Amino acid sequence: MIFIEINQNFGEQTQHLILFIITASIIWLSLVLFTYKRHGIKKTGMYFIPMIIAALFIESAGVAGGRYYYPGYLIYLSVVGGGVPLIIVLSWSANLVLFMSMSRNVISKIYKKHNHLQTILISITAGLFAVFLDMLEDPIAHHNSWWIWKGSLEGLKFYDVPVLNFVGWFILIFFMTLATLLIERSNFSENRKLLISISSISVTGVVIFVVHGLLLRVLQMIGFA
Amino acid sequence: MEKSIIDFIIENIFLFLPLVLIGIGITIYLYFTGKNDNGKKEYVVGNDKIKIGKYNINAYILIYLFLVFMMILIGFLSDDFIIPTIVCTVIASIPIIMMILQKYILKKKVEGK
Repeated sequence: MIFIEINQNFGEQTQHLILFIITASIIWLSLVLFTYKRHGIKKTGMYFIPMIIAALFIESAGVAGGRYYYPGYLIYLSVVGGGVPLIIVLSWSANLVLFMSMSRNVISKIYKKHNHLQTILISITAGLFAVFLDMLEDPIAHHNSWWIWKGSLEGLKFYDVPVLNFVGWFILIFFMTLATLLIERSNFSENRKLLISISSISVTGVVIFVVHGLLLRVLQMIGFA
Repeated sequence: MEKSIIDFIIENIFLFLPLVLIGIGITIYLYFTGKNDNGKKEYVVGNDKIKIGKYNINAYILIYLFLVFMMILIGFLSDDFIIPTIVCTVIASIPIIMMILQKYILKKKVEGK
């Protein structure tokens, strides 16, 4: 069950939130329109819808777990107990399309063969690009309270942002890029690719859950998380 | 007490498990009942370019630059956050530096042939 909540106190506790929301909205709209114009409605759906659904579940679980929260936004969505701003969910889909396309641009010039190795290289590069951008975005977001990490969180931090967050960004973008490219490069019809991309979130989700869980335990053992 | 997403999912496994099982079931069905479509179109990277004046620019790089620029602007507008913004901007510039270097190396290679 999805719950939608409208916040009456827009911008409370935050600084420059409106600038962030305008930026994120422009980027999301530009990417959706550009993808639609270049690749049509089915591919646009294949690129954006799975990540929107995945982000909704992951972010909602993250907020419900109490590690961080989002104050001052206008529209919140909740699927498993934690309220997540609509713009954050949409931004995740923009992140996937942006980093997947940028890394495809880099890798396809270095390694021209359309095989599984190229798919893996593109996914790794997309994950790394995502981490590089998040290392700018997350400290500014935390400083301006667009999202607030609980101060009691243990482990290594980068400008008050837990390092585990960056690991999470890498894993999520890596596996979502991998799944999207594998489906895109399959021989199914465009309709079926769209349906598989949505239903396969469960498969990708289980893989992300297992890999992230194992990494979390390793990082906790060595005191990084 | 804060819980990681992993701990939260494990605690609420009966909420997630039915969704996952239904999703996996549908994926298996779609995968094994699908017919091959021979009219498959390959993704062409050159299609990502847009024309601005005389220049052909990759739309995704333009969007990335806009995002980084806006973050730098907000970082500088924030109280006492100029040094961290500069440090973080250097890191966020790595993808752009990589792309410029790659273009330069490929150009050199072509010229060398």
